[in-house]
Amino acid sequence: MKKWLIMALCVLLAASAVMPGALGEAEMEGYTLPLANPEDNVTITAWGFPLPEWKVDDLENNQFTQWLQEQTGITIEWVMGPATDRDEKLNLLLSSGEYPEIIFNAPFDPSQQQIYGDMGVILPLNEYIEKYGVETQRIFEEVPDIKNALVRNNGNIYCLSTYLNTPHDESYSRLWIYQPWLDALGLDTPTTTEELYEVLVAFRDMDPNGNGEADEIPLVGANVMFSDPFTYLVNSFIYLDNNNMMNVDNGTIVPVYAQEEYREALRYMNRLYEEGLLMPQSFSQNEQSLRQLLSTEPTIVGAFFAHAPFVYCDEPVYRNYVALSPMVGPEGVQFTCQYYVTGTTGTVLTNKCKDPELAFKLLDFLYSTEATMRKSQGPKGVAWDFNEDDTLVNEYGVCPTWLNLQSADEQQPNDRWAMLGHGYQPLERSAIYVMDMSPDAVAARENATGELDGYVQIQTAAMEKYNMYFPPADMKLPQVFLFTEDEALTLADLQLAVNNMVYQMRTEFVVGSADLDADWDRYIEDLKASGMDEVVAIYQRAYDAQYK
Amino acid sequence: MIRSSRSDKIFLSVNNIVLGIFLLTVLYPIWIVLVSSFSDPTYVSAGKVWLWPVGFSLDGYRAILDYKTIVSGFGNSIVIMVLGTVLCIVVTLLGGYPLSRRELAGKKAILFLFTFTMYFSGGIIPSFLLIRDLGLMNSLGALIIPTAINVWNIILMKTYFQTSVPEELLQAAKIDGCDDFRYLVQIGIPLAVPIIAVLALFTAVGQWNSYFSAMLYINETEKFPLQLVLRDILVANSTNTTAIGQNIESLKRKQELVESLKYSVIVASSAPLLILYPFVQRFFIKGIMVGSLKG
Repeated sequence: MKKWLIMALCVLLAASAVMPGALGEAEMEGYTLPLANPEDNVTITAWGFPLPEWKVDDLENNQFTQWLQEQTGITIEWVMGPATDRDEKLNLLLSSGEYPEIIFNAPFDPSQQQIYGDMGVILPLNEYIEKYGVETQRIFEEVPDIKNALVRNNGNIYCLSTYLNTPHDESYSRLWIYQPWLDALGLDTPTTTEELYEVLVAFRDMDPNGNGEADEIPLVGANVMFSDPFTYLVNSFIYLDNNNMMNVDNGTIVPVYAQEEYREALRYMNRLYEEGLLMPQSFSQNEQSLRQLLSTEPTIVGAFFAHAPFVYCDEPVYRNYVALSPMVGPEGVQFTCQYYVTGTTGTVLTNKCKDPELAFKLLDFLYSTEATMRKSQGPKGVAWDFNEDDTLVNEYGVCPTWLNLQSADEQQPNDRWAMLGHGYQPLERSAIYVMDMSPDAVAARENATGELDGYVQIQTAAMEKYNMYFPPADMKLPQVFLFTEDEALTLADLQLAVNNMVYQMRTEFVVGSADLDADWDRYIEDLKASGMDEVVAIYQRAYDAQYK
Repeated sequence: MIRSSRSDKIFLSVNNIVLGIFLLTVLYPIWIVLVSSFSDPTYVSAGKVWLWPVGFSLDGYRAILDYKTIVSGFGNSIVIMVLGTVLCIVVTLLGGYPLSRRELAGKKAILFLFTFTMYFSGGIIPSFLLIRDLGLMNSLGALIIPTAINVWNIILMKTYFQTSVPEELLQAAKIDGCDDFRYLVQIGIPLAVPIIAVLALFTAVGQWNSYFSAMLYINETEKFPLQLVLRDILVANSTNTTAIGQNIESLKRKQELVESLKYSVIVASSAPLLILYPFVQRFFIKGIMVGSLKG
């Protein structure tokens, strides 16, 4: 199976590399800037929303909008939604027929794209990509997975997604342990689940922070995407992806939450919980509470789950937390959850578009290097600029194509779109921070402060301790499933019910409200009653149709 | 001077203690918000602020100025509140007073139609389509016209005129040659000051806090009222961002944003109403005593 997959990908890569125009019969016409004569006052309506965390609240007077308008000669008329609840407003606009021509960051998942596409509300982009998609085809060649994630049932592509490849984004679920306590107690870094247990017991009992009180919290998480205890710990027993929670075993779809290995994982976690090693709040608290726990004097948290410690701790506390590789379980299983860097949602064109070809050219232009950079990083020469120096090395060990010139505090309001819209930033380009490899710089970095080291910390953690434990490709559930409309509707109800039951019951099993021996069979029956078998069957049908 | 008996004294002191505790429980959160808005955000998030500002700083308020939309939202909300309240009062008076007069033709039918509408509404999408067809999309009218008439308020106004303003006053005025409109303006309104004050306060608070209509009908950030902008900032780090694509930098920035702005923004947005209330309060107390009704 794996061999066929690799062969198929190679053929696709070769084919798409050989002839860009081979996607269809249309010839590549391309386009030149400006796309429209500024005298003509061409306007296009677009859906947008503010991003307060990026200081973006005015898209009309935004520096990037103005640059884009100058380059293309098109004026964008914004239909703004609030940042929160914008999906509600968008749905209302769609239902009443009052929607704009371009919808950036459209919240339609693949099935919804299929449905809206069949209804004619959103336009298929294939012919535009063939005729005008200079940049789009370029990125499809460079990373074929981008295209694979976008193709729907009838071969149509409905949206243009954002591609931002940083290795630290592929593995999110990490465990960080407080190194000074390991040193104080003379313990080795744990590598197996049993060793982790021993270390946590030592944290609890031996007063490593030395204040004479048993106030240490050995292990804690939060009820937040990157910090839940399950995603990390269950992967030492069976591979768990926290969204779908299904794996592929020799071509058969397997629901992880009904397996024996999963039960053993819960048993291990229950043991940690019963002995006071895993703090109860790990299942309910939010980021603020976790932050407060990590900011006490003296330190009380021994280990916690997070994507990046610098989000939760201030200087210099986060440096003392060291990443731990995934633990090896009793059966020798050692995985980490792998996330997709390719997107399945993105910018769409609606049927309100008066001139779809023009609109598409605008969208294609956003994929160009300078446009993507200006959109997500800010004004050129002010916030960033291209790198001329060949000797520099970035945190991934490659020579960066651009450099950051400004820190987050210096950012001007409304100088970019940030996460609004789509763009293409592959690995080699990104240079959040540049590492000077001269001995002085290396030594200076030991004592440096600021965000630089937070990012370096998670990059190195990802590359050295996590990214080698991704599951084999034939075990992971593929990213894109093309369901029929009926299947999509059924799944929408059933999968939600099943997943909610799984989330609720796993907490109950771990805290002891439900017993792993006495209540397990009833749990399986409840899952079946909620529709687990139908869900798996639907996925199996789609899997067989697409991937076998 | 009546000497209070011992049991009275005990009752009073117990009463005062209970009310005092209740006052503290209600007042303390407000106090903490005020104090936190003047403190250094890092101390606030570490949980070190509990009675006085720690690390006094105006950074929270300075950060507000970074956001044009907060300032414009403030202005928009005040305009919406004032205009909305004035419109509401005018319309409610014009609706409530005639219904209080016995000789109004078709009074029963009109009253029935009004109360009939209280029992149900068309829903979000029909309302949206209605506003769109009226040409009110993205305008001030969409926010103040639909809510201008509240049948409950009209009935309140009507009842007030019927019970508190005697028929004899009207007859006396008529003898002196006063017509209906002049009666309303020169006699009715001054007598109805308490009810107008109450109505004004409730409407003003409602307009100040309203979020949903603005979210639906307003499409330009310059026209967003304050609540729309605030919600984005305050709820920023708990939103579902699957459509955007969660990325570590966004997450960190959201944390910092919420920390630095949260309390100062709450204080800034509640301040107008807190200031408004004492001025309106005196009408409640004083109102009924002023006027031509004595004895």
